[in-house]
Amino acid sequence: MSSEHKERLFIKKLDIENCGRFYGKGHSLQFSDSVEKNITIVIGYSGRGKSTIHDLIYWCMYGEFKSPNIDELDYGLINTNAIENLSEHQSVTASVTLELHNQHEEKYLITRELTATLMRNSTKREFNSLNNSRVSTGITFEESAKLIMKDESGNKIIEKDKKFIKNEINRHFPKDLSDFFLFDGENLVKFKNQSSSAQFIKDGITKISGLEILESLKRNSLMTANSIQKHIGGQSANAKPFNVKEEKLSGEKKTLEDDMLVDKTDLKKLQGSLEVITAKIEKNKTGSELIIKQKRVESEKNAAAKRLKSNGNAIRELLFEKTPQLLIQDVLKNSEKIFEKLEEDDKIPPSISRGAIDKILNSVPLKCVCGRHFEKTDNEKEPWMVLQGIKDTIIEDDLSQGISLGRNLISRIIDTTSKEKLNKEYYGLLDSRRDSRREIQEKNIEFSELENEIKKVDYDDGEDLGKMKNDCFEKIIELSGAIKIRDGELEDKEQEWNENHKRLEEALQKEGKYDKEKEKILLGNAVSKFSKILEIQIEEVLRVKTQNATSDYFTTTAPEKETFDHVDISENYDILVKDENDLVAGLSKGQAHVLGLSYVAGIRKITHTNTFLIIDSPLHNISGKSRNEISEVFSEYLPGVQIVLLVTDTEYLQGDPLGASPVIDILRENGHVWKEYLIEQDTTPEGYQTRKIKEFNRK
Amino acid sequence: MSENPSSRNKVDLSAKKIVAGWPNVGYDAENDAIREFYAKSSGTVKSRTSMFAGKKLADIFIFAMTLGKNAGIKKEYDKKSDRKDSINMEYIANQPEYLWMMIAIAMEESQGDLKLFQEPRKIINICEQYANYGIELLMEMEGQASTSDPFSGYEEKFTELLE
Repeated sequence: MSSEHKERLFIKKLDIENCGRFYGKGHSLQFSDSVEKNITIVIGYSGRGKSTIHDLIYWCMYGEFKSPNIDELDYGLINTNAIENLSEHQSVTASVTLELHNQHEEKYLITRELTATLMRNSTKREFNSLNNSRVSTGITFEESAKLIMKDESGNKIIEKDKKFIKNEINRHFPKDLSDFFLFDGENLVKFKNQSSSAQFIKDGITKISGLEILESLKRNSLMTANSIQKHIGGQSANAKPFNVKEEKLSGEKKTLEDDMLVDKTDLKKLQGSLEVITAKIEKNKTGSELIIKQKRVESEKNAAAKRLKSNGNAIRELLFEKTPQLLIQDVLKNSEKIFEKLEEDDKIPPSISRGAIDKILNSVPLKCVCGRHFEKTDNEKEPWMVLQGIKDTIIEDDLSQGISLGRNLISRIIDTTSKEKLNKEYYGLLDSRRDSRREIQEKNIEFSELENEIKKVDYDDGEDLGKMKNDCFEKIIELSGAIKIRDGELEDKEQEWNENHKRLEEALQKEGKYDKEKEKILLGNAVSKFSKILEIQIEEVLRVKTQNATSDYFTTTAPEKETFDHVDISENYDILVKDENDLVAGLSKGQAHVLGLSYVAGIRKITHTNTFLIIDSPLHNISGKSRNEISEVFSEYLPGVQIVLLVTDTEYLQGDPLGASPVIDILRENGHVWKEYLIEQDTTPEGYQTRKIKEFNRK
Repeated sequence: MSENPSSRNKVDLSAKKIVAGWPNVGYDAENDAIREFYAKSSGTVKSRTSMFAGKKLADIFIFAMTLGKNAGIKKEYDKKSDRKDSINMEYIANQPEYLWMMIAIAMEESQGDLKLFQEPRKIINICEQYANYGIELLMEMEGQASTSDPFSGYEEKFTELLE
């Protein structure tokens, strides 16, 4: 992440040939370079190729597919008609050309091509990663790229080296940041639900920080250290039993982790279902009011739970610190008396110290503190020998000072363990614990009562949504409990593994041989530990920065922004919007969507990203009033930044029965829209289906 | 406990000077239950419900020692083998309160014999023996934990001490 000021970069033009649904040449789009009219709109029915445009820009820049074809379908980069109708030894080339400008001139002209040649007819098909689809095995592919740019002297150069192109593009458009300039609008829906947004936020922070490198350093160094340890552990008689146990424990740990993953996936599905059911309930006026009440109750319950937790920690700390001191309070008091007695007997300060005697014995000429001179002699009655004798019976200076300090400390411990003070503190904490517990119980009852009311509502489509919600909710509670238990089991297993691993290390340390291997293990562990510490520090800094930047954006742009105070991103990356009482605020769909947009704006701000922002499906799954709210936000979103919105024709051109106005009306009104394009279906003279991009002009 | 930082620094420093050259404090590693209690309840791995989650071995030792002393029972630990795990005195001196609780116990036991400071092994032996009995009481207290009430054993003891 660089803090330097970055130049404003934008896409001027995009040319597509034989890619995806676009057959043949001449598929071009020009984008706005205006700071005032910064929004370009691309409209198309679902399946017309909006996402293809988004993905092709990514492919052209990085030579990789943003959406790998995990299902290995037959539909890939090169237009299907073009590739399926090749004759033997005939080729077809798909290409994407991007013109990237800064504010003054063309910066890069980048063309990426993929050429397919049918070498022989074959009915056998297999997945080809260059075309990202299943194709005939008789076809060969060749990818090439060309970058035209200016060198340091201002002369135009043409570069074809893929590594050079990759580095040059990454310098200005880091691939790890691509989610924040080539953004998939479907991700915005995740912000309606904490559990689904947390992973997205965590991934984003991991990518922008370069933490993936640290993570792999940590993993690899630890893996190396463990595999060396395993190797020599298998040979050493001392270590062998621990080595065998480690393998067994690793297996058990893996099983638990796998089970946990299944549980968590199921939980996510249930949370998704609950979200869908809740959204349906919210469409009903009474249902919507009850859901709002329920969210408020839940938020209050969470606040009480938070207080209970912090109260529990305070009780724990009090018990931990004060119990031992109370247990030996009498001993401490007795020791006070013993030290007093020693002081009376001049055995400890403030009586004469050994250092003071040394000072007298080393004085030249020899002179006592009373002023009397004396000489070095063997006579036991003379001061020289008397002082030597005293010196042998008293304690060292450091110890004298230490005892003084220690006595003070003991007195302070006795003071702070006064039963009166502790009684007050302890029972005060117990009282507030009881209050918090009672409040949680009350909120649970209130929540259940609202749940019953939600069940009683008559919903339009006749579905028993209240019961469905309740069933789903109960399953979530049950599964969350099971996950918590499994989490504990996993923690215990990890402890067992660590304990055994420690024994294994000790056994190896006792071995007289394997010095080189031991050094390597030590180094591997040290590197891993260092990477881990660094990773935590970086993550923490970025989490807070992201939180603050997101909060700034959200609290100034969100619909009904005055009801929100700030945004929190917790250590678990849960994103929560809070009101001024630090209570979690419930968000409408529109507000949740804006929260997602605020996160994107926040990340762009902290990474100083000043490139274009292309959003595919920015209004995904949004209807009614929420759509209007988001359109309002878009009309003012990131002023001066080149924005391209890839939208469906229905949402852009039409309103809906739930109160949404056509987005075109809202966006046009503010005057930031530069140009609108429409992707239409077309047929080639050969009879192939293709797409045609044309300017959209609606008065 | 409020005190000014410079006086705290003096106390910290002097505690470290006092323990320089002292042997380590041991606990009974021959006894699997004790060894596991020390290992599970502290160190790098956090235990969910333990009083000592995220705390140090020294914290467990001192807690156990004070319980043993309160009960007035010392217990030798098995010295048949060298399986005696230990805690460096420096860790104990990091908390000067702990060091002076140990010294107070030993001073009371020896009726103020200052020679103990020249023979720290004696201080440590007394404390180890109390801790070796106290750890059994501590394990019982910890054993009373439930998920909803993880510190009930400790609360019971604390209430008893406050009465």
